[in-house]
Amino acid sequence: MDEMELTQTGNSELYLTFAVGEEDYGLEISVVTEIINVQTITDVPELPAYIKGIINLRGKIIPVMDVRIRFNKEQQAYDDRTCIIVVDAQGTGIGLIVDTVRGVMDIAYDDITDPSSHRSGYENRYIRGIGKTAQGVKLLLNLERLVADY
Amino acid sequence: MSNDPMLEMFIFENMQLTERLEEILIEGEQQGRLNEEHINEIFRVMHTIKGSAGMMEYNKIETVGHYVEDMFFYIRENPGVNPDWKAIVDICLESGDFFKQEISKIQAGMPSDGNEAELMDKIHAYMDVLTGKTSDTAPADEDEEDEADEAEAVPETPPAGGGAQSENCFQARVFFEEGCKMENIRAYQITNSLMEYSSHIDSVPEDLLEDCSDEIIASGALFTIYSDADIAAIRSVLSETLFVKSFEVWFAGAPAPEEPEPAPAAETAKAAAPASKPKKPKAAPAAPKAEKKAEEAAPQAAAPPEEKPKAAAPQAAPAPADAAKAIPAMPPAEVKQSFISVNVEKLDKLMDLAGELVISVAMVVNNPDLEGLNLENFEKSAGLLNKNTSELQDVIMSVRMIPISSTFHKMHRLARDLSRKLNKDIEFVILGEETEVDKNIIDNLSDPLMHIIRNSMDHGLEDGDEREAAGKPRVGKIVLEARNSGSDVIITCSDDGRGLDRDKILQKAVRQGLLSKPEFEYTDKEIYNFVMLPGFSTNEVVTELSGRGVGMDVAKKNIEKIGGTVVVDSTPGQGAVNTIRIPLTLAILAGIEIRVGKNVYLVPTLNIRESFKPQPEQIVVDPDGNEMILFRGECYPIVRLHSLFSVYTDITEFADGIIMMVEDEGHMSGLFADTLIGEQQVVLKAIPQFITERIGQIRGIAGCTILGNGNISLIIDVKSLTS
Repeated sequence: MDEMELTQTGNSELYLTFAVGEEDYGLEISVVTEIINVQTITDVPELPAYIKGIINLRGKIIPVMDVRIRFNKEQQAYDDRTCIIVVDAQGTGIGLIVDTVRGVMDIAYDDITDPSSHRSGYENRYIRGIGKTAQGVKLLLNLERLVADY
Repeated sequence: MSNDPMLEMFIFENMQLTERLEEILIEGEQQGRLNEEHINEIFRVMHTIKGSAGMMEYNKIETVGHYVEDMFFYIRENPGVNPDWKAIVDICLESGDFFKQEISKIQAGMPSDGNEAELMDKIHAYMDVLTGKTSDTAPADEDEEDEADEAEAVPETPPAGGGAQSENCFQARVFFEEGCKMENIRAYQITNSLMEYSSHIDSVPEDLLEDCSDEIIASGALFTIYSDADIAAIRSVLSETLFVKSFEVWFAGAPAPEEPEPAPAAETAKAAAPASKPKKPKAAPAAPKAEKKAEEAAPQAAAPPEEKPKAAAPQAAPAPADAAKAIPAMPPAEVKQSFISVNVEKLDKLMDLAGELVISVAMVVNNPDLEGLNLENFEKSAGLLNKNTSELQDVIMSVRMIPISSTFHKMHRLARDLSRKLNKDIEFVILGEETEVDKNIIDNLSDPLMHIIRNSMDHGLEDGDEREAAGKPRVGKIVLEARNSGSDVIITCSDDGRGLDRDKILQKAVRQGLLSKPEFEYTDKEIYNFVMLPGFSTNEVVTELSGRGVGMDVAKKNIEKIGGTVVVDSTPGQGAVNTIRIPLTLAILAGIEIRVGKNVYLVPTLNIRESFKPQPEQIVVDPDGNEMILFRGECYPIVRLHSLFSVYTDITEFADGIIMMVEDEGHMSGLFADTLIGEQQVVLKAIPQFITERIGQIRGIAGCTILGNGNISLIIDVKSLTS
């Protein structure tokens, strides 16, 4: 990631891109706090399946969500490539477990299109746009909906 | 709450000052009079309140502060008068209440619009009594401190009679404490306070309202003050200003005499007319006192010798008065600097970080990479590191502990007010006020104590005649005591009143259907504790103070909220004792770790009665399939933690695991877990809101904590598993 030239002009935005299953997704860099490796997750009873439990982030206890399960994909064992992206969702810290983090890229607003015209599907309601880049299509997540309670 | 830092500072400082004021007053009242030290301190407090309120343009607070200050000025300058201290304390306490009320309004973002007129009338009325005047010119006499200064100075500097005085020019350089922020505003505040003594002040930097803090930090703020006051007055203003690190004042020459112009314009007209009146009565007692004091002050005054002669020379003979005034100006510097106020959030963060540090140290020292290596020197250093980090943690923990005295003094104040209202004389004794308790706990202690004391005063203590008839001293006694006991603090509030009426309580309990076992099985103590139940009041009449049956219920709820208990005991005819037991700190919890599958849970040690490997004959299963454990001849339900928390474990047979008997408020159950791990002191943390918002309170889980190895463990809520 270091050698990438990260520039941001008025008509584009920086995105953190990561893979969940076959697709690549993107999240505005402004909501991302940090990226950590998978660590011990503590079970909490009564939680919905997509919330795996809680982790200790340097003394702060935050919940973690398995994005795979959230997207109704099959659960997968965590490995070295699995990452937890810690995001700030309206003041609450939440960890998102993703298959792997790809990098940071600049996507111009002009290259983002409305999702409904392209695809339908379960995860569609968590997508707020599709970014077309040289490295392929990135599905841009709607964080608010992703962490919302439904 | 406003996020304006200046306003926040104002609220914080003044709330503290008001509390301090109350403490002094109550202390003075107990001694029967306010001594010189008290008066001087009240003076300082009032002056600071007045000054900062003036700066923030809260005129009502400023005015009241000013008049109270005047009253004390009169008392201080006339040691001969023997005022009615009780009345003075009353007035001052009322003023304190007024400040508090206004400050809370300001805090809530409302305008400070209290009605000070009534209070002012009282102060004026009392000033009339004090000065022995009845004409309506009296209040005007005391209007301005500088006017009084002037009056005092007159007999000592004969040439400067009447109103025609020459002004001197002083210069003062002030440095502020490092990191106190807003140096320019603080400097501006100084010009404001000095305005009282001066007609004109120049400052360098010139415009203090511009952001010139850096300049002030670098070279200090330089004030040129044209004043007819003496140097000590200026010095005393500076020494009373908060956050002043150091200052020097020197005499810079007397410019051509100007028309004197006492500063606060509004009062000038009024003040000028009767100015000549108080001279004579004041001069007589003031002079000998000033001389006597000058002798005492001489060694002190000798310390800055260069300033003294310069100041004295042009001012005819004000040296004795000068020195006398210097006395009150000296002590504050010593008192103020030993405390700093820190935002509690920062402390919380610091405590978290220290906890983190302890964990990181454990991770390094017990690192698996080091296994099997012989590292003698490393072990030594690691030992030292461990010791230092845990010491650090202890110190940080202790920072959060504050003495309980401020809460106790608040109660004293309450008891005093109640004793007036109820017309019952009391002696209020405070013991162990230095006992330290976590800040969070102290914050939650005021309400319960208030209810308890109200009850004691209203129901417990008899009135004078009744007490005499019962052969007790007329004056009732309430003792508020705090002491440490292990990891708990015990607070007792005892009175020597009539005690609780056992039969009346029992009758009422029967009527309300509160009994759960035959009447004769209840012990006295159990019966007394019925009063803690909601809606329980034996009082037939609801009074302003009590009788609705909410008080003790609220007290109990509040104390339980901070993890404490309260019980009441009583001896008929001899009084009642309320005993509150609270943990030293909310943050630390002792618990025993148990394993269920791959998860670790923590059970608070407080709730654990026993744990053991169950024998097959101890297990009882009823026809409905409910599993129970026979423990000391009684059957208690078993809670299988693995099924409650849906955790996979190989251990599902009772014989393979352990049963831990837990109890809460007399209810017991046996928790079934895989194995015991060990004891842990942990810091209680809440389950993230994100989770509780979705699924609400999780049954059986009270919170979570971070273990020494960095993992999280859930803390078991015994209460929900036993009831």
